[in-house]
Amino acid sequence: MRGLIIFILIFLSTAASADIQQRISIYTQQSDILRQVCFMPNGTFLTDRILFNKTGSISETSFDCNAQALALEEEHNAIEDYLQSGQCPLDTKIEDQGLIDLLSGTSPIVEEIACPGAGSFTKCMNNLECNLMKSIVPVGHALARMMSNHPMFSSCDGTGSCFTNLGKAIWDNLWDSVKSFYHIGKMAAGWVGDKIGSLWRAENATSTRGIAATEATDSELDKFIAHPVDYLVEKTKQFLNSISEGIKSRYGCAKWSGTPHLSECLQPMSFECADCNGKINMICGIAGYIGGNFISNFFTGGAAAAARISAKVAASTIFKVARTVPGAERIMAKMAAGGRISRGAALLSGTLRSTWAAVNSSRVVRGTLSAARQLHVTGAAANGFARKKIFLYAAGQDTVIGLVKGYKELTFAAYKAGYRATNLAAVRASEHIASQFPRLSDITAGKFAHVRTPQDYLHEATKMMPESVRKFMRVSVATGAKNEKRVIVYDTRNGKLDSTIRVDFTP
Amino acid sequence: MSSHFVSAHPVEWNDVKFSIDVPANWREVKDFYGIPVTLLGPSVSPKPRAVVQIIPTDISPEPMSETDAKAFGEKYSEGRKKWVAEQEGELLELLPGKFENGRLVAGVSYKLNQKSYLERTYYVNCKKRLFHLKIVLNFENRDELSQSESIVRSFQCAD
Repeated sequence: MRGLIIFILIFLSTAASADIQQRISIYTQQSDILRQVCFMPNGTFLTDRILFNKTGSISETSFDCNAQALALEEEHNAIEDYLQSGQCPLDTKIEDQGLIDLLSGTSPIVEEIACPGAGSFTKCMNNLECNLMKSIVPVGHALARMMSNHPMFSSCDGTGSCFTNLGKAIWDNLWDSVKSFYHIGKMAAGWVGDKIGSLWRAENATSTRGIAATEATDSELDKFIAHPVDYLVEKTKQFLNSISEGIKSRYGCAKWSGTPHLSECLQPMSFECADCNGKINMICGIAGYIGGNFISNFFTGGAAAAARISAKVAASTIFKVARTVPGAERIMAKMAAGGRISRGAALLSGTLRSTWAAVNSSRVVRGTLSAARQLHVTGAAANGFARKKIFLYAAGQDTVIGLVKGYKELTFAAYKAGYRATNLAAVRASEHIASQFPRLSDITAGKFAHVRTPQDYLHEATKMMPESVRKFMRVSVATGAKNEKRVIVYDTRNGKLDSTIRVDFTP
Repeated sequence: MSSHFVSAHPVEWNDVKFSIDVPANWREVKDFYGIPVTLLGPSVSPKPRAVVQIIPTDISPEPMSETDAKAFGEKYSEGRKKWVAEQEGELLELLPGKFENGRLVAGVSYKLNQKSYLERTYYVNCKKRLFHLKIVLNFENRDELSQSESIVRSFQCAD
């Protein structure tokens, strides 16, 4: 009997784990679709807009942006509450086939949650360069004063304190004046030969700088003479590139459970996929291995020097890789054999905790939640249908309509699993749209004076409009609930978007 | 002997004066990478270029002679060996210390990563201070050693 209870408990917790994984899988995909349907390219949210297609099924194609953003916020909070309730151990491996399929695939959302830093390299490098440069030049030095006028330093937020040591290494070995190294000290009793032969630090410093100088092109010299800060900026970029080359393919960590490098890695990924903080963490992780030899390695080694840095890193234990699971290994092997590893594959080897952490910190999720928050703040969340406007999808938006249909299927899946928020919002929206337009059956049955056909209805509905407006009105037939046809009168002009809600999705 | 010379070229750095011959196709840069004066040979990118460094030190001049050469060379070599090892490089050659034209001279060759370098180092007294001159050449420029040495030989104190 006890064995049976234990079996049931294990089964239930496994089932619960699969449930929550499925729920996360649905939520992730829906968030991605919301972003693609309800945000302009510049991140403006389609506040108070309900969209639908003028032909086909209203329920399949309708989308109430406010309501779905709020429904997904509700879903997100429910998932968070569940995960924090302790009902499901967070170290569970990824088992839900839907989630595995999602993470094994190459959909944009997976590319993004697995590789949030992709595309952000330039902006991030500016930030890294800025921080590194600030670490290189000592406060109070004339160069520091010149730097404060340089536009690059507006992008600096002072993170990356580990750059202090790296910055000092660069300054000491390359930039600082060598004059201080010529110091014989009070060797009054020494012979001249010994004394001068002992200027080791001076010889070392001039060698390092001499090697660097052998590589200087004329245009670099011109730049150095005309704009020493620009020159240092250029060199700093090259230093960072060299470091990142060295760790680029290393299996680094973008998110730690605790102290970086001393705790469990929640989000393993390669350098190029890490977001800016992740990149800084990785560089900081190896900054301790970059010391006085960095400058000479940089100028003498190129790729070989970078390899030297990464060889040292391999010998260390700073990067902890999350566990793999048999299923994930099989999938990764298949994809590797096919010549393609999904970036999400790195997440497959993780846990429920690490997957949710990746989803939760993705730009898509943070952005869609931000829109929901702004809906609350601006009062738009309290809008009933009275304030909402119905819009058609623009011409050529077949892809978007396809996404919306996919969204609806996800809402059904969620509904069947017992998570109803998105489905309820969807049903209300399509019913509202349909109710704005008359039934075709009523029209053909003669319930409207002077009207027998949809064209008649258009004429009657628009005859009081000024010609300048009327010429843009059209009529179409769409399908409402229970397959009843509805006659849609619509304006072909683009509606003016009046929305104050905006999200920045850029990496 | 090189025929590239212009007449002795006066140089001033932070109120310190000296003169040195700078061939027409060489460049003179001040405070580059923290070196007071650097002369750079012609550049045919991506080939490296010859480098001659001149550092006026704050060390007071002390008489130097032939008798100092050996000790100088040995101490110098010890320091260079240590540095090459720290850089995880390979020491190729160490030249014994010499006293030539009033200067203590030594030299070294080494390999770092895939690049090899030769250096000549010179210490010479002027009235107020000791000067350090140094040639750094990537092996790819070793045919410019002779010209570099001529440049160093042309160095003259201002006082």
